[in-house]
Amino acid sequence: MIGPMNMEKPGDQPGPGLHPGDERKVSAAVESVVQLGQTVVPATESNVFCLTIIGQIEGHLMLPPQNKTTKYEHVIPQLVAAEQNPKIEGLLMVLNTVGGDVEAGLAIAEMISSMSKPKVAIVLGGGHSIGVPIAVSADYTFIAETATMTIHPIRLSGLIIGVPQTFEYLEKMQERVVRFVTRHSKIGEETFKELMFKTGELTRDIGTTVIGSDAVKHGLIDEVGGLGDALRHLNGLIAERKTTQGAVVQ
Amino acid sequence: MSFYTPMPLELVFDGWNREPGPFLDLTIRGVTMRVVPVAPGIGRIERLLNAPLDCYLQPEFSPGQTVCYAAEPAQANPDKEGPEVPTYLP
Repeated sequence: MIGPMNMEKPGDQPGPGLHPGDERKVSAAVESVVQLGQTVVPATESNVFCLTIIGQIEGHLMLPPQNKTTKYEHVIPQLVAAEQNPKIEGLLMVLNTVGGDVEAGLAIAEMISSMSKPKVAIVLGGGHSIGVPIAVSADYTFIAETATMTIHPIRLSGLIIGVPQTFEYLEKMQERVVRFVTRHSKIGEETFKELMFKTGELTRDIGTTVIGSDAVKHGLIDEVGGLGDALRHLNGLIAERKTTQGAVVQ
Repeated sequence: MSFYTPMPLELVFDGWNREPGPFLDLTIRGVTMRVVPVAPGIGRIERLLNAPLDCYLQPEFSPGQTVCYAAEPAQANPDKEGPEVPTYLP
């Protein structure tokens, strides 16, 4: 006679297997469906944290609501959390930004560059202006074939006093960006400034738009590639880091 | 303030004189946040004011997400004592 093998008694059957934390997550998901009609996609544990930098980088001023913004006050704690969370082993940064506030952009770039975990950036669409230092802050950078990066001089908003000191201040601000980019990429200061002050390229501004392979040619970005390439490289860096750490522990 | 963007500033700052808000600061599951009310009892997260670090990695606490705060009326005013709200635990 063929019968069911290893049949468990009803009392032996495992329960739903929910831990107190899981119950809270389930109740939050149910609440979100009931109250807001939003469905939450079940989160799978990933060892990569994906950070998207989109729209305007919002700084000390709140921009009007027609702007899509990346808020530095949220991104900075996110980076701290990613750095200290042992489950996160690498950072994948996806950029499609039109630049924004210099202080906020450089703050994000400095935070990323000082992270100890492997980080890879991919520029899709555009990584303009202050998006350039953010892109180069990663260990390795990719740019999509059709993506662009605009390099142009910084501008001031608000009351401007027409004195030489204003221009000296602007020069200093610009120098911060130039220094960061040249320190974190293969582009030389001279080439970067040449691109920045080029005339006849942009219709409303001075500067240059570099597209895909041009960014690689100038040394600004490491490679032309897409998502698959970026993830493959990041996984490679993660594996390398694990090997190094293992060797140190032994 | 230095702006570094190829977008025309008149586009970026369009509507600048319209006051943002009104905002509401509230605490939901142990996370203090600033929200813009969009409907009775529902708000859109503007930013987190005080939260455990792991909350910043949770998509449901990202700016722009909507939250329901109708069940927690006492949290809108920290001076009043309200019912105990379970705190966020990762």
